[in-house]
Amino acid sequence: MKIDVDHITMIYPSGKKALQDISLHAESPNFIGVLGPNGAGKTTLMKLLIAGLLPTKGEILLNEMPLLSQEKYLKSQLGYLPQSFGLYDELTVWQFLDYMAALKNIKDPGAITEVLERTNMTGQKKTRIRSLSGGQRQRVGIAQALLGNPQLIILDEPTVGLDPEERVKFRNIFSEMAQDKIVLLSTHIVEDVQAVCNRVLVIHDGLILFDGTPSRLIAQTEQHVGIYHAQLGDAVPDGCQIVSKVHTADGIRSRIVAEHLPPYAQPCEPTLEDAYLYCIHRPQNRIDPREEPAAK
Amino acid sequence: MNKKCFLKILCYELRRTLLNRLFPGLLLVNGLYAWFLLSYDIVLGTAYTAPFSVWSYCTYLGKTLPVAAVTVLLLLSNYYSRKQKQIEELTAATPVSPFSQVLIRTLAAGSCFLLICLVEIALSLLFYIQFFRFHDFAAFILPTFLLILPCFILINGLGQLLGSLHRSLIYALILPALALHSIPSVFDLFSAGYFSTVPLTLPVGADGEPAFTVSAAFTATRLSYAALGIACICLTTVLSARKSRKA
Repeated sequence: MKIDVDHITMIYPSGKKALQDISLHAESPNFIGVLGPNGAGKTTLMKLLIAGLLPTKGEILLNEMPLLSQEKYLKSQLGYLPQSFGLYDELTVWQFLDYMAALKNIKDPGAITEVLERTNMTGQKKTRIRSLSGGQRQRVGIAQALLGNPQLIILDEPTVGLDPEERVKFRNIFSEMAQDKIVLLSTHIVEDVQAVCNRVLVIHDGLILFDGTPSRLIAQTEQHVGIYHAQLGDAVPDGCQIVSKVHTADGIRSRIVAEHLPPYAQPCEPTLEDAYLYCIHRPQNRIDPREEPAAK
Repeated sequence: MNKKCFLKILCYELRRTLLNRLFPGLLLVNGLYAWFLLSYDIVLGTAYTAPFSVWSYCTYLGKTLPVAAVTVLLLLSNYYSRKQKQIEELTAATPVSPFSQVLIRTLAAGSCFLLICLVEIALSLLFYIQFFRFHDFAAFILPTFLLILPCFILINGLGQLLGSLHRSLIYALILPALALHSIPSVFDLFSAGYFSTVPLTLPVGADGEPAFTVSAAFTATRLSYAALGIACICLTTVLSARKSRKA
């Protein structure tokens, strides 16, 4: 499967500009992590990719054909988990998945058993959805997205409500699935992207600020991350973003990202989280993924 | 979509509608109202005809239909609830077409309407057998279809069309739907007024009652209502397809 997003702009009827002239190309296999703050345009991008929205400008191509002419094919190959969704509370887990399988035209009942096992919901298959916990409901949502071995999987905040162990388990499941598919994972959890994605998109204010490998994003942040010790009440240095603060015997150990580190800050190895923060806090300087990493 | 999947989805929709908390209560209200009508109104006969005449039977059906129509509108409103919209976040990403979705809803709501009508018909048959030892129901079949089908198609079509625009419009439709039985009789959607007044204008036959007949205008009106209902269902399909791409 091949997807081309060609200079897409999305302006909502309210006038809100959600995406501005963005382009990207994705081909199987590909596991793309989409990072960005709330309201950055991640969900809009996902909805455009599932033909749930029509772009104001630009075009999306699926296997080199316009997406809308391929809508039926797209939806037959799509596994989608939106950020917020509802389930039929009166049905059992198995019945709901059976219902979704029928909507997806999946005739093999083994497909339901498979996703129940994958999502560790076999024990709850006869439980009514109204009796499930938040995390279990999320797992039902993931299970329906994985039904029928779809070739394009779009997951919008899939690990919300899951405990850390489940989160790790699920990101590994997604990673296994991405071996021959395109998986788009929108999340706020940078760690998940670092663990499983071979590609990361950073979106901010409707613009793609970065499109490349996580290691390249990290490399571009070298010399822009530092640590210094501050005292209680000290102001944050100009142009710096605090990543973390740890109270120690010597004062507050602050980790910062900045275009120019203050002289008293000691440079340190950046993580993907640092790189992400650095990226979104200098949107005026759009990072080019082809740009060479800063010299050490 | 293949037939097996379509039927499976329909069964689930039907099950959800029938298991809806509202439905048993509404079915009971419909049944009690029907029995009340039979016992206190229809038992006296319509327009000087026997209680078991086709005129009386059609008047009975015509009087029960508004309550059945309101029931269907309330059930339809569930398809446009906020919860349903959240579920559509998932279902909209499946290959099922808007036409199939509207058709499934129509059939599910239709089955509920049919169930209500069957209960009302069963009660009336029981009433006629018990109180009048009357068993000749063959003459009731055709008028029953003529009354029930156009009414259901129009109410369902209008309900789905307005529901797809905004859920509250379905509730707003309840009052005009009920008011439709007070307009000139030939246009009366439920036709109770038509069947209780027309026999008075017809000559009495050998059996002491006017022969059952409906005017061409009445039939044409019923067909028009059915056509309007089908047009509304088609328009709903178009609107649903457009809405699925809205923010």
